Parts: sequence; C-alpha cells; structure tokens
Amino acid sequence: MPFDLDATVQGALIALTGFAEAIAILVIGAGLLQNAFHIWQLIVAADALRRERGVVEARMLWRRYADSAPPIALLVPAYNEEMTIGESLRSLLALQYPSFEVVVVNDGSKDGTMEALKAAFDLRPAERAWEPIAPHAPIRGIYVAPNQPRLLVVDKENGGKADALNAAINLSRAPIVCSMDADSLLEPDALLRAVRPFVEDPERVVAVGGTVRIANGCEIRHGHVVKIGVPRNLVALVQTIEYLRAFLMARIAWSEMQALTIISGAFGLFRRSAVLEVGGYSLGTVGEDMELVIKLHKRARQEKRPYRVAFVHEPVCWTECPEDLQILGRQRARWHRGALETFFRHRDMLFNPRYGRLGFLGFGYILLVDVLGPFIELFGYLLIPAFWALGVLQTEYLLAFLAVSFAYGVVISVGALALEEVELRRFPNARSLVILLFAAIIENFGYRQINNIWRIRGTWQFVTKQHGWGAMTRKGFSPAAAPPAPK
Amino acid sequence: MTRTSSASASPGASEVSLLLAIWAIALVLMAMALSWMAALIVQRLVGARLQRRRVARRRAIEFALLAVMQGRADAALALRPYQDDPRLIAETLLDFLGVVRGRDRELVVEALEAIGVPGRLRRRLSTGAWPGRLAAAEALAAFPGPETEAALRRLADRSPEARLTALEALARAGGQVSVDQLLDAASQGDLRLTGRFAEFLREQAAADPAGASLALARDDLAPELRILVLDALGGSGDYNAITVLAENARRPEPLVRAAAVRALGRLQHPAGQTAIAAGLDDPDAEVRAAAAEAAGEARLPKLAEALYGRLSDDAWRVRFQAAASLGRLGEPGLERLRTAAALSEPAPQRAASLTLAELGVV
Repeated sequence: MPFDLDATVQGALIALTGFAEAIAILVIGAGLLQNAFHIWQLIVAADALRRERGVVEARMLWRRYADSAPPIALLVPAYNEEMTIGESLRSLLALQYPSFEVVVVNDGSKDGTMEALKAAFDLRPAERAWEPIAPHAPIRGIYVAPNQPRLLVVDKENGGKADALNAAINLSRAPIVCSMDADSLLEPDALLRAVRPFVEDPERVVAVGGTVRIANGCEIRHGHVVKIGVPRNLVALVQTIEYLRAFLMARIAWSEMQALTIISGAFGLFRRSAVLEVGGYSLGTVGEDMELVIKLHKRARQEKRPYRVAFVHEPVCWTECPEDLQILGRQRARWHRGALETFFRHRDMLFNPRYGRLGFLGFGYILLVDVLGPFIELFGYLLIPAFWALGVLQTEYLLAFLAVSFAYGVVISVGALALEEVELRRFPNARSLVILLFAAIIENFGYRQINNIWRIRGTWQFVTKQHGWGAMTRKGFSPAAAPPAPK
Repeated sequence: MTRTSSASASPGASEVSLLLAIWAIALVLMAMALSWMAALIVQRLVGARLQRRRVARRRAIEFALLAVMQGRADAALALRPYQDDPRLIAETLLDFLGVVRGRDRELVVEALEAIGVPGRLRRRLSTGAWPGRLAAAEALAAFPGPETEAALRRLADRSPEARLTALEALARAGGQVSVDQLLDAASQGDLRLTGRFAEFLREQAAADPAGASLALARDDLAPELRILVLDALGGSGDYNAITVLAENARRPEPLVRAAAVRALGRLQHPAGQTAIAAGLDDPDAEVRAAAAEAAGEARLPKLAEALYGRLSDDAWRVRFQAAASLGRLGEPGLERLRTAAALSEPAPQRAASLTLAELGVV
C-alpha cells in the first residue's frame, strides 16, 4: 500500500488544529471564568463599601464603641528584630484603645532582640499562670516592664512564627487576640476600627481581617505613617495596586459571600476561645494564617454553629513590600506554597456540601486560580503563540483575545483603585491617582506574567516538599528610608 | 479561530463581525475603566477644594463656640452662616460637648438654641445621608424637650442602628427608655444584640435596677438577653437584686448560672455567699470558674476552704480562678496558697505557686 505523505501531513495538521482549538478554548474559558468572577467580586465589594458609607471618623468610633469594646491582646512575634523592636513596641503601646495588652514573643532570636527589649523597657522576670493548649517550643522566661503594665515579654526557643503566636495566645488573657508582624505599622485607631464586628455581632464573629496597605513611599515617624504617598519604585508601585485589588475587592467580596479564607498574618483579630478550640496555629506550614482561618470555618461548620469571619475595609495596617524582584519572587512562591499546603491538607472540603459555599466557592476558587491557574496561564502563554507561529491560529483572533484579556485585567485593577478613591480616599492628591492608574495599566504587561512564574515555582516547592521561608530583606522604616518631606 | 477552519486566508464576513465584536468589547472595557478613573481624578481636584472649605468652616464654628464660652455678645451671630449645614454643626458640637461641661456647656447650648439649631437638627433626622442623620440624633441629646423626644422617637422607627442611636440620644436627653422596652425590641429583632446594645442596656439597668430585676421574671426572655440583664444588675450596686440573682443561679442554662454568680460577686455582698458556694460545686466548669472568680471579687473569706478544694479541679480555668481569688482574700487565702504550693500533687501546686509568684509573695 503506497504511503500518502500529503494525507498524513494533512491528518496531522487537522489533529494539531483540533488540539490547538481545545487548548485555546480551555485557556480562554478559564480566563473568562476568572475575569467574570473578579468583575462580580468588584460589584459585590462596591455594594458592600457603599453600604458601609465610607470611613467613620476616629473620634466618632471612640464615642460609639469605647465603652463596649472588649479587651484585646496584641500578639507580636519577634525574630531578629534587634534594630526595630523598641520603636515598634512604643508605637503599639501608644495605640488608641480602651483596654489592651501587648504580648511580645522573642522567638529564639540569634541577634540581640532580647537584650534590646530588656534595655528599652527595663524588663523584670515574672510569672504568669497559663494553660498550655496551643503547642509551641519551650518558654525560657516571662518578663514584665514596671513602667509599662500593658507589656508582657515571652522569651522562648525558636519555633517559627506560628509557634511564637501559639505561645502568645496561651499566655494572653484578653478574649480577643490580634496577630501581627513585628514590623506591621498600625494606624493609631486600628484596633477600634477592627474590633467593630466583634462589638456589633459578638455572638457570631470569630475572626476579623483588616486591610493591609503598602507603606513604601509613605512618610513614617516613630512607627506611624504620618503622610501617605505612592512608592517611587515600580515593583512596589504595582504591588500597591495588587494589595488594593486583594483587600478592597477580593476580601470584601469573599467576606460578603461568607467564604473568606485568608486573614493576613500582618494583621488579624481572632476570638481567643475559638482559636484555642481548634488548637491554635498549625505548625510546620508557611501558610499558617490561611490554615487557621480554614480551621475556624471547618470547626464551626462541622458543629453547625452560626459564625462569621468578617473583614474591615478601612486601612488599619501598613507593611513594607519588597522592592526587588528576586525577594518578591521568593515571597510570592512562599505564599503560593502556603495556599497549596492548606488546600491539600483540607482537600476533603472541596465541593463537599457539608461546608456549603466555602467548599464550593472558596475551595473551588483556590482549585481554579491557585492550583490549576498557573498552569492554564502558562499553557496559554506558551502554546497559543506556538500554534500561531506554526500557522494553526489566526493572528487576528490571537490579538483580539489578548486585547480582551488585558482589558479585563485593566478594568479589575482600575476598578479596585476607583473603589479606594470613591469610598476611602486615602491617597493624597490627583497626581498620585494618575501614577496609580499608570501602574494599574502596566502591571498587566509583564508583571502579571512574572507573577505566574513565581506561582509555578511555589508549586514546585510544594511538590518537592521544600521547606523554609527564604531570606526576606527589609529596607526598614527608618526615617532615612522614607522620602524627604516636601520643602 | 484556526486557519484551517476558515475557507480562505482572509476572514469571512461572519468572522469579521465576530472579530469586530471581540475588539469592541476590549475597547469598550478599556474606555469605561479609563473614563471612570479620569472622572474620579477630576472629582478629586474639585473635591480637594470642597474639603478645604469644609475644614475651614468647621474651624470657624469651633472658634465661634469658643467665643460663646468666653461670653462674647456677638459670638452667636458668627454661627449663623453655618446653620444651614446641620451635619457640620452636629459633628463639631459632638466633639465640643465631649470635653466641655458645666456653665460652658450651657452657654454653647443656649447660643445654638438661639439661632434655631435644634429645629434644623430635628429636620435633618429625616433627610439626607445616614451619617448626617445619626450625627444629628446624637447631637440632639444636648437639646432635651418634648419636640426632641418626639423627633427621636420617630427616628426610632427606622433601621436597627438608627433605632439604637435614637434611643441612646433619647435617654441622654432625659427621655424614658425602660429596660423592658429594650428587651422587647431586642426580642422582636428591632434592635440587634450588639456590644453597643449591651452597653446601653447595662446603663439603663443600672439606672433602674428594680425594672431590670422585674424583667428577669419574664419567662420569654432569651438566655442571651437574660445574661446581659444579670451582668447589668451586677454592676448596678443594688442589693435588692441579690434574691433574683440567687434564683437565676439555679436556672438550667449553665451560662445563665455563670452570669448570675458572677453578678453576685460584683455586688460584693455577703448575702450572695450561699449561691456562690453552690456555684463552686456546680457540675459545669464554666459556672465553677465564675463562682471561684466571684468568691474573690466579693472577698468572702468563709469560702477560702472551698476555693482551696477547687485548686485540684479538672478544669484549668477553675484552678486558675480559685488560686487568683485565694490571692485576693488576704491572709486566709495566702495561707492556703502556701499550703498548696508545697503539695506534691502537680495541678494545685502549679496553680498556687504561680499565683504566689505573680503576687510577688513567697
């Protein structure tokens, strides 16, 4: 039987075309689904913000909530924070809130963090009765400051952030605990704003997340943001837009849907009894913040208890973001690994009717965006241009779909920025809005694609069971790091 | 979409229209996003001016109010230009009244009454954005009278938040808001069980403990509301409430029993001893912990031995509260803590030695 080369080539071409179409449909379909969901989130968040009617003035909050606000324990894990711990704590101790204590945990620092604490606050050894419920490494000593009755310092062996937070939760006595990073900068009225859901719905609320904003470009004095600005560094600038999208759009929307699965480790309030019921933070994961929230959801849903995980949109916490792509890449890979660890640990919740919309929407979203998303996007970036180069995809369609994809990205980023401007208006002037608009557009061309590579790296780290946090170099909030004040 | 799926190298008419539609979607989305943001940037430029004007007006009101307090005859006239902005006046006034008392406060209120501010605030309750309405309601508390009361009662027909704000303002303006009325509203869902509500209920119960005690006789009272009233009675200082608190310490709901013994502790009267002692032997650990706390709060040395027994309780928080309370009982308690600290049994030994260390007593 003679071999028909033309027929074979034509057959292969038809098969390749069919495959190309299937890939194109998969990539476009997944992209459209994600974009449609994000647009919906934008609408839900806009409606929620409209109902909240902007930001209530701090003095009004004090008048309305100070009497009924429950005591809060601020949990501050510190590891190698010798240079900044004193100033950070002074700014925390100056917060405006009727009743709070600060529990600092020196997590076996290798530098002089403990000595710096002792020198700054004249610490004295003390004892405190506590119940060892949440697991953690052994405690070496407990200290109090004679002139700062709100401060408690715990010195313990190194065990990581979750371990340190567990020790602090065990030792704290307030009904509400606030987990944070040692270098988080809180707004003076942060606690008063964030505690509102606990005051307004004391029976059901078990956790409250707060909006974290980028401090790069802001003027910082004595541990407080005194003048808001936009970063001058492009990497930090696009992260400003990312944070707006994550906090002002996504988390508000998830909270409205009762399926909020993440409360940032930089700032979150929890009902202490609820945290202890689930055994505190899980050890041995880099996604301990997400893991805790999932455990709270899981427990309440298993026990069919009415509960709420709420979110406050008002800016309460500022954090320094990396200005270097290498450091940012490590951070994002770690975040992604944390999300995957939590997802697979609790995979029984996926599409499980017992967990309601959390199982379907929350876990379904993680599956689509975090588990499959990076690979679908990678397929898109690699295969579609390849098919186009091979001549099986029309240039006109390729360009048109790319245009729609980028337009959706721009709409969502600009939408988040617009929500900020309409409801919060924290950026100082029209010029900063123009700069941020520029960032909202350009982040779709390059940054988004690099981000995808980091997420794939995070997946690789998860699959190969790589542990550790990687180095996170911070510039620090010293006055020298802040931009000069205008003359 | 693929080259082989089209008949020729150039797209057909239907494909052209599909392509155009896709491009149109992309362009419309981009145009919408950019024009939205452009409008907001323009609005910001204009809004910044308005904001500066508002800050200046607020400062002018503050200066005028300071002048009123200094007794300057023309000061009230300086307030006239701002009487058409009742929200601004309300917010400024609320800040002012937070720090001003006595004759100065009276002067400010009289000056604002003279230019008709209360009437404008009353009208503001039913018009405009909600933050302004709530601020007006809170500020109206400074202008008591039948008209204010009627206006606030009308506002109390609206949302739960507005209702609570109106009732708080009403109470501050001297209007009658009974514990029963609050409990009815909460039972019917007209008021939400928020921390603010709890605080307001506490204030009203403290002002009328007899009414609060009577409310506890209601069978339809939900446990969470009963707990709030018990808590309020504990802080009222009214010893007549002891009987009703002791009765509630025998109710079937553990959280209600715990709230009742805690309230008895806060009243600090020896007559509560029997109920607190019974609480120390309650089958529920929450009640035992509350009773242990109450024994220390009420300084009941006769319960020292019972507290000593609770140092071996299975529940950590009972042991912790018992030890803390022994520490508050003076020498009878400290003596038992020292005894327990010398025991070989780890639970009472640790609870007692930690408490002694916390107290700085060897």
